[in-house]
Amino acid sequence: MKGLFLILVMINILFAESIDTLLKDYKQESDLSKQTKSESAGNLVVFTRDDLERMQVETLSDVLKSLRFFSYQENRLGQADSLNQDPITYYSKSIRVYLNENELFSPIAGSGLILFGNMEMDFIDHIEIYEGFPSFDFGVEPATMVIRLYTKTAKHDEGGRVKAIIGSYGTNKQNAYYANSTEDLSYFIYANSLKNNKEQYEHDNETLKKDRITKRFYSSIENDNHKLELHLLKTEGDAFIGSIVGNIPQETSEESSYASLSLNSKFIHDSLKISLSYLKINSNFSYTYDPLKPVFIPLDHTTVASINSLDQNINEESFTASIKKEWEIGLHTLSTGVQYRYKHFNLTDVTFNIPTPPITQAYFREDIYSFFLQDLISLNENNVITLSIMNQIYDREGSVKNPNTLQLRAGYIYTDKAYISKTFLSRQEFASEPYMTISPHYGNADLKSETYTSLFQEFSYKNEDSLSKMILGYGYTKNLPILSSAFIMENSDEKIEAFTAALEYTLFFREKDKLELQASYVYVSSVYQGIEDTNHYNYVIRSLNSYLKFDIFNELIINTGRSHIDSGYNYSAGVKYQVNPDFHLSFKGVNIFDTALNKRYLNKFSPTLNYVEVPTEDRRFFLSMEYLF
Amino acid sequence: MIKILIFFFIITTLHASDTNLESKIFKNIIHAIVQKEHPTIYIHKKLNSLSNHPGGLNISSKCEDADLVILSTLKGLPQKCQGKLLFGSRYSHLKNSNVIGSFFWQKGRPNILFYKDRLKKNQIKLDNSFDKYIEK
Repeated sequence: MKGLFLILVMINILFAESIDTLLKDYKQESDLSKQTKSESAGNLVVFTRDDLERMQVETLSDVLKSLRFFSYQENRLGQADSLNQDPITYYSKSIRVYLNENELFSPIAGSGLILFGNMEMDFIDHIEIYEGFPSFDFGVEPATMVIRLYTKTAKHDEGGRVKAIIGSYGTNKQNAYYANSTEDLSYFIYANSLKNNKEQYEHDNETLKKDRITKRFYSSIENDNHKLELHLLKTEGDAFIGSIVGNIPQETSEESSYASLSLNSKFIHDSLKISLSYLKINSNFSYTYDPLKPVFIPLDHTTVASINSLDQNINEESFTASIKKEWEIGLHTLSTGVQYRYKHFNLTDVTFNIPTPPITQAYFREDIYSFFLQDLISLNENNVITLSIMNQIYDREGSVKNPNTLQLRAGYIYTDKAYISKTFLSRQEFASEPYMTISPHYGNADLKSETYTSLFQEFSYKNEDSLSKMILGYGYTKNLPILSSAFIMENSDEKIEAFTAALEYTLFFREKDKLELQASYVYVSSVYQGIEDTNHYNYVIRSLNSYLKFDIFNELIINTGRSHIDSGYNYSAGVKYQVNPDFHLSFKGVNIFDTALNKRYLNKFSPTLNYVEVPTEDRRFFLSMEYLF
Repeated sequence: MIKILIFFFIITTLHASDTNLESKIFKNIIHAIVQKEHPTIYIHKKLNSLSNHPGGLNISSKCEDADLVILSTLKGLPQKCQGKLLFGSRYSHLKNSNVIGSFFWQKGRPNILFYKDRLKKNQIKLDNSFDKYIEK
C-alpha cells in the first residue's frame, strides 16, 4: 500500500502543472467574457480579449464586417449603419449598443450604432453580440441585435498602456489608459486621439471624402456596489455624399460632441440593480453645392426649393433611469424591471443659402415608460425555458401618435457538456423612431409601429478540438417603414418575409491556434413592388495563429448575391510581434487586394437613376506599437 | 491498480475553472513558502477561490494558528496577524514591507512577485520554478 502511495505521489509530481502553465491557463480561463455572457439571451457571438488583441481589432466595424447575416455598412454620411436602406440616412435603430450597462444611443436616431459603430476598441476588454431578437432585460426599447462592449477595468488591468498607430492616407492614432485600485476604490482612465483618413473618390467632377478626427475621454470609478462612468466624445470630419439626394456636394462637414454620465449600483447580492444616466449630443452638418448643381429640398410636403448650401444644428438630450430586480424561487429565476427614458431633440435650426420658412417639428420631447418581466425556468440541469414580456408606452409631445408597443419572447435551451440547442420565438413591435417621423427631408409623424415575428433555432456541438454551429431563422415583418415614391416615409403594405441560415465551424489546434469557417445566407422578400427579392451569401475564413513571439491573423470575407453589385472579396492580414511582454509591434492590412464588397448610394433619381459606388472598406495598412507600464 | 492510476491521472489533469486554477496557483505558492504537506492558512478577509477549493490546506479561523496569512485587503488586519508571514493578492499589498510576495493581475495578465530581501529576512527558500518571479 505504501508503495502504491509513493507511485501516486510521483505521478502527481510528474504530471503536476508547472506554475508557468497554470498562469497561462488561468489567464485564458479568466477571460471576462466568461463572466458576462448569457447564452439564454440570444444567438451569441463573442470576441474575447485574446481575439481582439490577436486580430488587431482597431474599431467596432472591424468585427461587425464579418458578422453573419448583416455585415457592416455605412450610410450616406459615412456613419455606421449595418441595415442601411439608402437613401434613408439611418436604418439600424434596432441594433442597440451598450458600453458596460449603459446604452450608447442617439435620442433622435433611436440607437447608437450611427455614433459608435466606428468607435476605437483600445479601451474595450471584450465584445458580445446577441442576434435574433435578444433578451428584454438589456434595455428600455426592443432590439434585433444587441452589441455589448465591456471596458477594461482595474480588476485585470492595473497599470497603464500607451499606443500609437500610423496608417494609409495619413491616418494616425494615439491613446493611453491607466488603471489603479486602492483598498476600497478602483478607477480606469482612457484618452484617445484618432485621425482616420480614407480613400477619396471622384464623382461628377467632385471629390467625396470620409476623413474624420475623433477625440475621446472615458473614465470609470467604482467600488463593490457602485460604478460611475464619464464618456466624452468630439468628432469632426467629412460627411461623404451628404443626406440630400440630387447632386454631389463640393464640400461636406459634420461635427458632433457627445457627453454622458452614468451611475450603476448593485444591492442585495447583486440582485437589485439601479441605473441612472444622462447624455447630451450636439451635431452640426453642412453641405455646399456647385451653384450650377443645386439640390432640391422639401419645404413642406407639397413645395420644394432649390438650394446651394445647408447648415444644420441638431441638439439631443436624454435621461434614463432603471431599476431591475431578480429573484430565485425554486426552479424559477424571475427578473423584472421598470425603466424610464426622457428624450429631447431639436433639428429646426437649419439655414440655407436662400431664405426659407422656418422648419416645423412635429414634437420635441418623448417620454418612454418601459416594463419587463422574465422567467428563466431551469427544469433540470440540461433544460431551461425562458418566457418574457415587455411593454413600452411612448408619450410624445404634441398631436402625434403615441405608440404602445408590446414584446413577447419564449425560448427553450438544452445544454449538456457537448451539445447546445436554443429555440427562440418572439413577436415584437418597434415604435417609429424620432428621426423617421420628424426628418425635414422625409419624415412622417403618422408612421405606425412595425411588427416582427421570428423563430430562431441554433444547434451547437463542442468538443476539445472544435465548435460547430448551425443557426436557422424565419420571420416576417408588417408595417416596415419604407420611402414612398413621393420621398416620404410610409409603412409598407407588404408582409415582408425573411429567412436566414448559417453554418459555422471553428477548429482549435496546437496551443492557441484556431481556424474559423462561416457561411451564412439571408433571404428577404421584396420591400417594393417590382423590386427583386434579396438573396445575400456571406462567407468568412479566419485564422489566428501564434508562433514563438508572433501572433498572425488572416481573414477573408466573401459577400455575394447583392443585386447590381459585384461579389466582394475582402482579405485582411496582420502580424503582431511581442518584443517583450510589455512592448508589442504590429502590422496590419485590410482589404489588401482592394476587392471588398462595394456599396451603392443614390446620387440622382432624375432624369435617370445615378449611383455612387464605393468599397465598404478601403484598402489600408497600419503600423502600430504599444507599451505597457 | 491501473484503474486507480488512470483515475488519478484524469483527476490531476482535469480542465479547470478560473477559480479552481486561481486556487491551484495559490496552493503552489503556499506549499513553496510553507513547505509542509498540509499548511494552515488564515484568509483576511475574503478569497473565494481558496475558500471554495481548499484541497490540501487547513483554513483556520484564527490568525495565530496560521503558517501563512493570505490577504485580500490590508485594511483591518487583526493585531494577532502582526508578525505572521503575509502574502498579498494585489500589487499594492507589496507596499507593506511585511508582505513577502503577491499574486495579482496587472497589465492584463496574472503575475507573481516576491522580493528577495523579504524572503531572505524570513529565511524562505523557494524552489527553482519560482526563480523568475523573484525580484532582486
